[in-house]
Amino acid sequence: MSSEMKMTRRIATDGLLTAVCFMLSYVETLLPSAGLPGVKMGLANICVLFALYRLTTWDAVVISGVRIILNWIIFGNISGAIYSVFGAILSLGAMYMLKKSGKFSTIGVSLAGGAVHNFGQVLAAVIMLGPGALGYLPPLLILGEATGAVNGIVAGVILGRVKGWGNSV
Amino acid sequence: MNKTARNDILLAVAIALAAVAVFLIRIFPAAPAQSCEVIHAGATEAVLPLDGNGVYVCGSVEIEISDGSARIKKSGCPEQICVKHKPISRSGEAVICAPEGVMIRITGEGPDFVQ
Repeated sequence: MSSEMKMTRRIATDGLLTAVCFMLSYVETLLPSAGLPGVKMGLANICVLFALYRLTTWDAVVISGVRIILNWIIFGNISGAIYSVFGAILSLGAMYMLKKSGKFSTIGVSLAGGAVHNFGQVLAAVIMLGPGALGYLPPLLILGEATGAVNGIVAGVILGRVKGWGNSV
Repeated sequence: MNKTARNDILLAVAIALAAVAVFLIRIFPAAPAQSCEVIHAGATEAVLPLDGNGVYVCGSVEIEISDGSARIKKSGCPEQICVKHKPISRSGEAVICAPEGVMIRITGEGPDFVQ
């Protein structure tokens, strides 16, 4: 395959995953939010995990970034996007390191990504709203563990079943 | 159990502990200092912090602060009702020694006596 072909294929793959990611973000807005603002399933993280394992870290960054921008334009408000950016940067960094260490399964990587994402969100809230926002961290972390584990299991199943993607891209 | 599964569980436990730690750190400084207000003949005579220990003398009345609660230890009054009153520690609780015109009252936020 020529390098041009490879690039085209990569753009198509990233576009496809971004679309799935975005759709999962939309599905999330339909789910109830357990009474706390910012509580979400984080289903989009399944896509990011998939990209992280099957494509490169940069593909995961691109998919995450485009998703946040799309989400902001279509559903969101600016403060939501700022929380998301903070969370996503930290979360991607943590997931990248844990994946690279090779000592964790997708469940562990997803758990850490979720927890660090929550931490980033609360950090952004503390900067914007004051230290009172720190009170949100414990419930977010506990709920984030549950959703992170679910996402990690789903990502693991998908990675196991979807063959012929990624490393051949 | 394989190694990655064990690491996953350790990670989950670590995150849960971090959550609990943040929760506890948030709870403890939130317990605000309470104090015992001494009112004599209708005017506030002293405000004693409840976290200290000691005895405050107001006329014939001795007020003792210990273990986060306040009580009237001695009084020159005939009935000694105030001395028999249990120690007080919650906001809004009070002990009154009517003959001596002394009242002690817990002020500040924290565990509230008045529901």
